[in-house]
Amino acid sequence: MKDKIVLQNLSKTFQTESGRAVPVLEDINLTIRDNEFLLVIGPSGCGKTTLLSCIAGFEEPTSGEILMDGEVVKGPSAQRGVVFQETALFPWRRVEKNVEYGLEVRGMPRQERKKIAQKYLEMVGLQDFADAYPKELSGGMKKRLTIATVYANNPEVLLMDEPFSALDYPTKCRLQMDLMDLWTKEKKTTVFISHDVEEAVLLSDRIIVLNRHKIALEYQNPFPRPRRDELRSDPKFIEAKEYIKGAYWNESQKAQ
Amino acid sequence: MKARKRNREKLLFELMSVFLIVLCWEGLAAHFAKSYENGSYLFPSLYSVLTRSFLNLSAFYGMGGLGTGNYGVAPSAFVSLSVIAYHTARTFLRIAAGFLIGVSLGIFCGILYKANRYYHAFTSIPSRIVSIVPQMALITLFLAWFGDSEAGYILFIAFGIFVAVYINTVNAIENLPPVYHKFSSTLGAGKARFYWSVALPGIIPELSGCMKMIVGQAWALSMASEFISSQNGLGRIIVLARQRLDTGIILIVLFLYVIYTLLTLKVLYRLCAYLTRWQPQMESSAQTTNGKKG
Amino acid sequence: MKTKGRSRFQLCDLLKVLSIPVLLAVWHLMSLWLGSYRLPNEITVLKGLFTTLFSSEKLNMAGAGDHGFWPHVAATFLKVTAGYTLGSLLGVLAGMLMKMHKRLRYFLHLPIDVLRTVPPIAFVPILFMLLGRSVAVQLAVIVLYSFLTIVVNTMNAIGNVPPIYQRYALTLGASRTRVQRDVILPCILPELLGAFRVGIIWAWGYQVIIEMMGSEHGLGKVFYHTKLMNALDLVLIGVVWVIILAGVTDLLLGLFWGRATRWQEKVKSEAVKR
Repeated sequence: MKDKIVLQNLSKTFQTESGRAVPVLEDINLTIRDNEFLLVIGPSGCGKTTLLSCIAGFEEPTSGEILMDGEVVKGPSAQRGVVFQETALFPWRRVEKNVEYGLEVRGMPRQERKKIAQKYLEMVGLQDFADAYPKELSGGMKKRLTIATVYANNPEVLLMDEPFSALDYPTKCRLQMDLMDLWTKEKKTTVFISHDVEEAVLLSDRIIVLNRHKIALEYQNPFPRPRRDELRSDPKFIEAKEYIKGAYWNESQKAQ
Repeated sequence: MKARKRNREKLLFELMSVFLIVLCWEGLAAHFAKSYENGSYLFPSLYSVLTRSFLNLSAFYGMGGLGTGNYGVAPSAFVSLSVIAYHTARTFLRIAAGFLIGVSLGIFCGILYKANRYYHAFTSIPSRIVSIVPQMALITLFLAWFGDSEAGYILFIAFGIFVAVYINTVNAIENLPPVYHKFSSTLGAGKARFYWSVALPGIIPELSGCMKMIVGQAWALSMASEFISSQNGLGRIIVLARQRLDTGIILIVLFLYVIYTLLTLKVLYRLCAYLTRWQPQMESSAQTTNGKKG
Repeated sequence: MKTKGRSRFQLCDLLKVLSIPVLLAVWHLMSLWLGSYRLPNEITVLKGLFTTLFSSEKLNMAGAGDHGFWPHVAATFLKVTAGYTLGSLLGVLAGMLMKMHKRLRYFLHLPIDVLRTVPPIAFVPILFMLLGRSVAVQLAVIVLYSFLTIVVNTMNAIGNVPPIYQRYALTLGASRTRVQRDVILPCILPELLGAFRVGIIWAWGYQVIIEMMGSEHGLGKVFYHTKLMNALDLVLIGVVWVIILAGVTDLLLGLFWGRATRWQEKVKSEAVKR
């Protein structure tokens, strides 16, 4: 399996208004393979959102570089689809038109767009709301709409920034399952940011724990796919969670 | 560092802009002076505005109530300044009176509209109609009813201000967090008490946001009324200057209008800041200071 | 308690319906008290609306032509709508450009701010003196006024667009120009329409003043002449026309506004904010 994304000696430092330098990422080296579901976890302020912003192309690294398919990442692109933490959709367009947006930009003819949009709306279970305005959807449904839109655009890489953290627990669990189903049907290289350890062990192929601007731990997920809901209460699963938590909290305690 | 660089760039472009405007101005002034008979009056150079046009103001000494009958006074800086002072005072007093009347009636009726069910029902259609009436167009009506008296001008301005303050007060009360009312009623406040002690102070931040627009309106209304018919005031000077084809005087008066508008705004902002000193700094009112509507 | 609630409900409805008739009755009484010279009664005025529409002796005597109110009503209406729309379109364009290119903004914001502080009718004497009193010059004043207000409103509205919408569109492949078209425009449209609605009321007023200061056609010209003649009934008819026209434009814009905001989650039931 080839290397999809390579981070080489990536460092990012922010300058505050008063001129102080705030380091956020220090010398990150990471290789993400094609169709791998990578999960990045860590305490707040560890730089995981910044890492995603750099891969997406919203921020430029202070030093080092990010390569996708061998080429340096210079800015946002349709090949790196992002599902943001906040609700990101176009409230002035109907649900179906939202899903069609990326395809519209590409100049795809109307019939084809409609077919693809329908397909992905069905995959996320929103086909009955195709004509509605987003204001009629609940929080969880809005998230599904965003996922459908990004997926319909068929990016090579999927970047997700704590997409489910604003949802209540049952909705979150359901969306995690839905995402896994979707991802199994159409595999994509995915980088997923979270602060929820359960989510991390459930969804990932590999977990990276970020702490104090560096990679603190790398963990290969041993659990075979497909993973079911019941796995959450499996003793081995809980053990894995504890292990990650240990690395996560230990490090964060050290930080304090 | 970046901010300082940005400020320097901003200053550079602003200076370039001013420089370019002055250049074009002087160019046009020279062109007018050369090609037209009265060209130097129609489009005066900046220098002549400051000198000749300023002194020309002295010619207005005899009119409008200042030094009546004393025509033919020798032009001088002092005379010009007294002309400016007198007419400024006349215009300003009208505006001040109209503003006070309009604001107090506007706030009162706005509160009444939200407080009293019956008033609300009775005035809902008339209020809607009044809110779309272009107040400037009513100048003829006011002049016909009140003749050329001060009352006419003052009430014209007052009416225009009243409508604006009325609408904004109603909106401001609607935007109050509902918890204010609930909380005060659990503390035993009746309706009147609520509106006097909670709603009124509560809407001041939003009203002060509309202040820029309202002050602009007041000066515009006064200028309009003085253009159409008046014996004195700054607007009258502009009308007479137009008859004499003296653009320079008009420019001086316009400059005065800008200064006065900014001054009155500054004073009112100070007042509102004092009245809202309880407000946390982050939460400034929704209207930005450069969101002039109308 | 229940019956009291019900009767209050009916009383309020009654008051709403009665408001216009009561006001008309007050008008009538005032007219009787002041005399129909000082205040023509409402019947005269409302009847006069129709009778003077196409021809009016009095208007002719006043010097406003012999086709009645019609040419003046049409002239003012066309001038305001055309001028204000043109100025607003230019204003939106300029606002978007200025928000995109900061150097342009630095360059233009001083002249715009200074011009905005001056009451718009102040331009009338100067422009009339230098360029004459043609329709084009009258339009220029309205265009200038609407341009100056809408530019600032546009820039403010763009500043209020949540940045996440733009980022999202970029990750879906949109170019920067597409973002302006697909994201910025629909998002600022409600706020702009609100400003447009308020601004055009003022434009009506300014247009009347401009015409009073010198125009061949228009309600302002009618006001000028009828004021000289002290023909109060004609003045009132003119005022009613202004109100009707302003009301019509407001209604139309209200419909546009409703359409442009149907995607918004409205917190309050009172949709109209002025």
